[in-house]
Amino acid sequence: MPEITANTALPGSPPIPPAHEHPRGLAHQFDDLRQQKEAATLGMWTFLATEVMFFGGVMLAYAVYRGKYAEAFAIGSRLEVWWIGFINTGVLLCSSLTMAIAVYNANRGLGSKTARYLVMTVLLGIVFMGIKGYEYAHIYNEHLLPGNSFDQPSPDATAGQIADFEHKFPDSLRNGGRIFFSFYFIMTGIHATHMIVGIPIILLIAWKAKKGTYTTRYYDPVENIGLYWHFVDIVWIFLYPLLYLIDLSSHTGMH
Amino acid sequence: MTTDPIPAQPIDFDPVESPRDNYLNVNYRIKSWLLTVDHKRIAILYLLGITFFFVIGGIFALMIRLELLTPRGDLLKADTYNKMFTMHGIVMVFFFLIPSIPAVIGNFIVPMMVGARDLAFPRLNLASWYIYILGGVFTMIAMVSGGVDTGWTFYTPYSSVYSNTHVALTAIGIFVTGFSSILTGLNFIVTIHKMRAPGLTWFRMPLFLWSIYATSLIMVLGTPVVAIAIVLVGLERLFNIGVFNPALGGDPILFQHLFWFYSHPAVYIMVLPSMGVVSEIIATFTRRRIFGYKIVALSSLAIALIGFFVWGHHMFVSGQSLYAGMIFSFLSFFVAIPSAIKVFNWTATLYKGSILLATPMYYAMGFIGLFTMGGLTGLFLASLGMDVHVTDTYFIVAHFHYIMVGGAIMGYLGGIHYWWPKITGRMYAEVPAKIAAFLIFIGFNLTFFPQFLVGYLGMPRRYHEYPPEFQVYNVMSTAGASILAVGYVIPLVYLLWSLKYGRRATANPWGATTLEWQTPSPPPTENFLEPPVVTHEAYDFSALSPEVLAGHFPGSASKA
Amino acid sequence: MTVASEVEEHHVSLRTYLIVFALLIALLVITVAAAFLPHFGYLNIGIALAIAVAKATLVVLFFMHVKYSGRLVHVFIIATFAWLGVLFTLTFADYLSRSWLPSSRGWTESGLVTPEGSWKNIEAAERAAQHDPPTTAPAAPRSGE
Repeated sequence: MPEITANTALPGSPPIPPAHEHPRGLAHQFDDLRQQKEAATLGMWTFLATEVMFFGGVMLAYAVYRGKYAEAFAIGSRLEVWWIGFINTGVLLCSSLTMAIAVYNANRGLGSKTARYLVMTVLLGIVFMGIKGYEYAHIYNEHLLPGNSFDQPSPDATAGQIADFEHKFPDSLRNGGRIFFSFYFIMTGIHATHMIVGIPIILLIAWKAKKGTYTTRYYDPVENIGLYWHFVDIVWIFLYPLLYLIDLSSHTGMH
Repeated sequence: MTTDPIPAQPIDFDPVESPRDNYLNVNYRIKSWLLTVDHKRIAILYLLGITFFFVIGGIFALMIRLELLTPRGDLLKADTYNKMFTMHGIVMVFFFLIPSIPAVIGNFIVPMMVGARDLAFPRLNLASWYIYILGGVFTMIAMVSGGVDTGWTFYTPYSSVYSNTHVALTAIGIFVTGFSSILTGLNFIVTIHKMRAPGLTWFRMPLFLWSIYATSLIMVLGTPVVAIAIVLVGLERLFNIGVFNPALGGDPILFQHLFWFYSHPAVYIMVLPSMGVVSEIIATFTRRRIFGYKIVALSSLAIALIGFFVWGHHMFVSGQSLYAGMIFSFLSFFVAIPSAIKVFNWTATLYKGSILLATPMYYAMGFIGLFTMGGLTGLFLASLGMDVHVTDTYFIVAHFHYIMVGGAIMGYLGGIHYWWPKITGRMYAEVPAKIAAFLIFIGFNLTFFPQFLVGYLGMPRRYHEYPPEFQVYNVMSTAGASILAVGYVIPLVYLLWSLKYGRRATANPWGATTLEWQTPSPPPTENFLEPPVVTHEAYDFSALSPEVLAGHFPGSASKA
Repeated sequence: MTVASEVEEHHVSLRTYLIVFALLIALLVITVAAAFLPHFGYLNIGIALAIAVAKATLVVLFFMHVKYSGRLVHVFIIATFAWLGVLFTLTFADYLSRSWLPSSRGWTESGLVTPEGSWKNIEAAERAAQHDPPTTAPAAPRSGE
């Protein structure tokens, strides 16, 4: 076997270990753990780039309509409960912290602690989802689900109920309101979907960490699910002010 | 291995070897194919898929051309005709053209060209294929259940509110297949960044890799935006949210912005890999380094970049602001520049090169001519005033078919023929191959050139009937389409025939210089028997032996 | 064959994480407080986005270790946001200039789409709504499949 340097094309990369030593966790297509780690991390960042474009697309649509229906969006935003969103944001920030600590422990080869902090992250995520569910139910009860009966009494309401119905939006602003709540559900829904997909993966990685699958030289899955989770957090960091905090200064809030 | 020149390959040698372990014969069971993580087998799986979809898309094209043989709408009802052109577009764009070269040739060749054992994420690669098939299944179900009639462009509010065809199901199919595209692009980007062989610097990479890299950038950055556009259309259909419905305060043009932000760069996804293939073919069959290698490489990136700035040229008459239209028109002229640079450089490479007209070369030269025509007519369309005149006429149809069929598909077929020996270990028969290439070229031009004329004269697209004065052009076009169809069927025959009866191929039957030819045909599962090291630039033909340089090819007149 | 550089690439201590977390919570509180400021037009959205970007930057640099990642990751991140910038810029080139010419003014003036009044008019609109009886929803086009 001729003398060859590592496959990474980076200067100063470590040489390939001799054939008999096969580090734990090294996949067959890679030459060494460093190459694998760099590839995995770059792959995750590329995936996050696609997610930025995905959320970016819906944010563009949001921006166009917010420019058009500024007042309706403001009313809609005031109909959200800002302090529930505040608590939820705090919950997610905590989950980012626990996730970062989990990766920190994985880097030190501490499988049990890694698993513990990953599970804490998941629990915080579930709390977030629970609060979200409560919010969705609240919006449904307020007749603000976007669709044909947006801001209208129920189809089976009595005449008295129809007369007593309190519209949240004036007629001229109802289209804008419907679009606001459409974006509320779409953006938080897609965000929640990303959390729902992420949680089982985190649990799987936590289980593997507890089993001792990861070492100080190989803990790429922990690092990369960390990147994913932090990204989900960042999306919410933007969603919160865009959906809940549009204009709380006005005294004409109907809430 | 590090300093030896590429060993002499007796090209005419017809090896009768005892079967040796290669990626095809290592395991024959169906499970080993369906659960493979070998990029080469995945490429074959994709080949089967896209060939199937090409046939389906072709059948829809056949119905269109049959209907248009006569001016009256006598073969199909208007609604049915709408479904035909819609489904032709959807199948051809999303299930054939966009995956074609990247998923088939890219998957097979990219790891070998960088000198690696596989792509960066082999299991993700297999998942990409299953996702592609799943998306195809959804779309096929939608088509069998009655189809879609919105046009492949899904313009709102027709698609999101008023159409009563299977829009949502088709949209789900396209959404799912988009993930396949994204994951494939992701795989290529990471592979090219992190898994190049020792010595393979960026500017020693073959131009095919540059093209695939640029294509992957588009796949990764553009596809998510059309994904969200489709999601919004689906949600509007199901829940009447009003985001694209003017009656509820929405703007239909917003959909077009989101749709075309991807779909314009998507056309570069379709053509950039073909350009890469053409670079490889021309280098090999002129025995020369591509003229201006660095510029051609950077042009691929420039096309990918500038291609993202021009999407509004599909929306000049939509109601978009005229000032935005002017900006998009101005920028659209620039995107032609890197493409033109490539054409000039290919031509300069051909000049005084030692040209050998094997079948791949037919396709490559066909590409250059037809892509140039398509590209030049694209410039007509970039100018706002001209575009307004020919919008939604057959001029547009002809323009994009020149690029996609005359360009992209010819590049694809050229690549299939060029790499066929590597993929299958067999040579195809040159004579029927050349006949097919010739028929395709003739048939293509007869189909689409009259469409430029009839479009300019005013025949609108997407109508099942037309004024009688346009019939002669349509008859020519349909006649050409029949010839084109025959041209496409012939390769299926001789390529399949070659699998059993073709001459066995050596490692490097064409005498090429890139890494994939330094390993046996078909390759072993791990691609290389020893990890390669690169010490010279991509097209260094001086390292080849004299017999190889003299260019003895099977079927060529100069055969020794 | 353990190479030292393979083991320790993250120079982030627990203390750093906790400080960053505290900053994030502080910025969250500031975000909410800023929302109660009187309406300054585009300045409000500017402040909100600036704070959100600051929080995101902290998460990216420290929690996601980008401060210690190689140049390639930096290029990927910057390129991604540049692409998003292209999407926003050219799309808004359309929307912001629609009102400049009659041929595209429909978005801002069409009767189907209610033009928005100024902030002062919102109370007038509400008072008008109280005088009119609540209208039923417009007959919706047939909903999706």
